[in-house]
Amino acid sequence: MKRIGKGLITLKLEATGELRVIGSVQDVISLWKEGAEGKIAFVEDAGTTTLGPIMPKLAGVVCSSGALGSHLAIVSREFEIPALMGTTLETAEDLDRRQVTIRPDDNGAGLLLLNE
Amino acid sequence: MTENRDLEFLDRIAPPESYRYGGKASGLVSLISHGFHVPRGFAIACACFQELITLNPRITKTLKNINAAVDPDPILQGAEEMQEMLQECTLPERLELKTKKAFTRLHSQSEHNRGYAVRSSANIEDSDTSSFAGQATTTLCVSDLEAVLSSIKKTWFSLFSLEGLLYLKTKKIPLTDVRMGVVVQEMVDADVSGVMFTVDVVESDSDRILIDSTWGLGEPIVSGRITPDSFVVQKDPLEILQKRLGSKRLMAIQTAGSESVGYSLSETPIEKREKLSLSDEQILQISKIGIEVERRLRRPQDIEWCLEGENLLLLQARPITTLDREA
Repeated sequence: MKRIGKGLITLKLEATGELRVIGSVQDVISLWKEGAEGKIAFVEDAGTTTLGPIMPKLAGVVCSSGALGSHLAIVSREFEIPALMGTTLETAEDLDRRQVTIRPDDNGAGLLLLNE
Repeated sequence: MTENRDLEFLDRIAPPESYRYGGKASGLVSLISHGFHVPRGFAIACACFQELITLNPRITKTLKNINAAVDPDPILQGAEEMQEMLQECTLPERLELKTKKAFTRLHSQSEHNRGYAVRSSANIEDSDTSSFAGQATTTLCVSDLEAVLSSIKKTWFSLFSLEGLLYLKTKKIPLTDVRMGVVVQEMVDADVSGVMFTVDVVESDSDRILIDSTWGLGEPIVSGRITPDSFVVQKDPLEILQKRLGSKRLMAIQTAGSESVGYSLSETPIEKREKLSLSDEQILQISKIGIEVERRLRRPQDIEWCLEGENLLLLQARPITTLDREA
């Protein structure tokens, strides 16, 4: 596995799944209809609480902004899935539909790994 | 028999009656009753919104249909119909008059024209099992009565927005059981704002506190637009264990013109980005308050706070939903 990002993790849980980029409510609806089981949602806006209908099905969430006090962090914790907040990506690769892992690291940090 | 009030000032609501005004109001009333500093304001009872729903059978019927729906399409269609119907509703005249009277009194007591926050306070909000975080509308820096009345409507109707409906259905909360109260409070001209968890929710450690902070208003933190500064504090003995500098790329500050108030979101000056938004002394001051809030409310709390000079005000306190322990 290759490290491709680092952020603040909301729960000390590891999650693996297919990463899906969510940019809009329409993306949420599409994934809802397709089936979100075991997916990891990547969002850029930690105010995106419209992940609601797919949240119980997701394995995890990755967000490029926000921290533990963001609405997304609080709601994802309610559904007991790890969210990697304020994530800095260390790759320019297109990660959509790639297998990734969220893994807790030390001192509240978390890593995003690409499963190759 | 207790009189059922449509609207009451927060410092006049007896804690056993606070449930009438929804979860956020209940939390604020609890803080006030324990002597913590909370911005002045009033709350509108959940029953007022319920009255609006009851008078519109079509709305009740649509809610029941959405409640029963499993597939996405009927839910999406129902959500759209709900918003169309709600837009046709108006505030009851009785409530408009009471709001006008309360607002006039609140405005007369305000020392500075900083505007008002109109905040959601649903009965299922800020409870042990559901935060409803970010699902309903809060409007900041509302300047006058007309804008307050309009924002109250907006907050009411956001309960049944697509986001709100999807959250409620996902949490299996019957839509017909949900009621929306509203809180109207003075804005605070915050120098620094943030959130605090009185336990370390990541490490599941009840001996630690987590604090996030940023310059100006706290909206960029809760909305997740920024990565704030973050701190880990040990409760006993009280000691700062970790300090992490966040990027704090944006900051929200109030803007006051001659006739109106608002807030702007702008790039944080570089010298502020590179500096921690809290001193060690402030971190410990906030932590001590958090420990006391947890002790008084008898369970771990998720607290929103702000600093105006040296004055620490609490904006919200709710149980941390993923913990099952008491302090």
